[in-house]
Amino acid sequence: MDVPIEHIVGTAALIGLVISAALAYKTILGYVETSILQAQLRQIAEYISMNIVNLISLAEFAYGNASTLTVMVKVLKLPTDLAGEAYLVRLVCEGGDCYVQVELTTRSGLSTRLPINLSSTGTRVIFITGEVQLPDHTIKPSNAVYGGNPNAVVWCWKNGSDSTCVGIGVWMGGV
Amino acid sequence: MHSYEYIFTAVIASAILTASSTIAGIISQPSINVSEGERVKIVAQKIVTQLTLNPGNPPEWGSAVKISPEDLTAFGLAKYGEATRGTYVLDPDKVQRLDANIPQYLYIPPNVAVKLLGLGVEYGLKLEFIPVLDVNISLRSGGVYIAVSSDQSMLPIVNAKVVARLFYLHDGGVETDLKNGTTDINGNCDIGFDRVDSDALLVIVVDYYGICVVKTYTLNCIRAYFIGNQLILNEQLTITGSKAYQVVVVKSGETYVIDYVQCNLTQTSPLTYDVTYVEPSAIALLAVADDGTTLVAAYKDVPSSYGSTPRGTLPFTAYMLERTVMIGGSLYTLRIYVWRVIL
Repeated sequence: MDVPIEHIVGTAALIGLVISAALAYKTILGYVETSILQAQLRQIAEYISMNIVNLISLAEFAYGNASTLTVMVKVLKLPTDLAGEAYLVRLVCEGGDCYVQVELTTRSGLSTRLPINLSSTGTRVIFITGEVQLPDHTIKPSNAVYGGNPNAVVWCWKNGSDSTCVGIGVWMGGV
Repeated sequence: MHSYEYIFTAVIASAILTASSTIAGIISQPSINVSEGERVKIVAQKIVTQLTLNPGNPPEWGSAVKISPEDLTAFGLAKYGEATRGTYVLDPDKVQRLDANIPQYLYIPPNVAVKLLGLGVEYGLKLEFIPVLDVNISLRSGGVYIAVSSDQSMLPIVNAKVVARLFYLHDGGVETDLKNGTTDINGNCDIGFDRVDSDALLVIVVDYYGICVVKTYTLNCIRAYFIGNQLILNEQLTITGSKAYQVVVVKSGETYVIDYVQCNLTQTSPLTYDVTYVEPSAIALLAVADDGTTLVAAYKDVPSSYGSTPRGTLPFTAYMLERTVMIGGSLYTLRIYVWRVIL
């Protein structure tokens, strides 16, 4: 059976076009999905940043220059996953600036980092990104928590007349 | 198949790819917009907490006139007290410094506030201060006519207690006349004063079952500013006897009282005087100038709006939040608008 050469070339070109179209479509969909996930990651980072700043403001308002043994806690209401993928919330301090970093655990490149505006609080804030012993033992401080954890908290402790410790962690007395 | 059929098939495949890619982009946009909209809401909530609960840094930046906008390291409007705190109680001096009409060295430009709140260039901000009761004062022969309505619905406020005190210039000194009244079914209250045609300051307190609004009204007075412990003049005047009267509004039992106390002034510059002691509930300062011929009235004014955009040009994407706050004994609705500048 003789097949004309133009048919072979045409069929191969069509197959190539379909494959490249599928790849291009997948790339575009990936870009769109990344855009949505980035927006959602930013939203989560902004929410955590808001709770941190609010807790600092409330601690300043409630205790002023006094130190206290009370640790103020706010349970974070975070989505269990983002597009079916787990994500991690971190506190990062670099070069004197502190950030909330939210990242997908399955995609290393997909994360967002939002600076926490500490100048707006007017107090010396110490971000705890490691282990620390709090007066309230039901709170386990950590530098990273999984977003799906229903007991993820931000905490704030006014431990001195001019300093306030802030961090994230897990509330052991929760659900 | 002919060659043109391959080409036709390729064109159709390309068209399907282009259409589906475009649709994928369009379909995802609402989701991104919702996320960004939610983010603006979160930013607005963060800002309202900072403004209403945080005194800023230095905490006494409102009353300390030597603190310039460059000296501020944090922005907040809450009233600062070492011993006592009140929720959603704003400092009238800090609010005054948001008024563009005050002397420019005291004014806090919106870009400074936006920067200190950490909004950068990404967000716009506008604040509105709206008295919870709308009190309109109009003069009539031998008295004043006061109309009280709600700020939201403009419905008349009936049975509100009205206390009015007129401070007027008489024989080179300050005389006062105190009157009381109640609003009628139309929200109106007619109060008679004999000397409403002279240089005078009228202070009115409207109390509607605990909702209080203090209003000042000037007649032929020289306007000055009363910030912190300073009397700031717009023009050079000689204060007679270096004395002034502080007008105070205090609650005594179930009623509000408008009273006054005399205080001494010390001139610190051609246009500024230091008040020896400022009463905590002082709302205005009166002084007689130019050998008893002029009445200088300085009162704490609350600007109607403040923000990074001219009045009336808010983008439709702006998110609005409201809180009821107390400023100098009066209740206000603080309305905050936040929007994204870079979309």
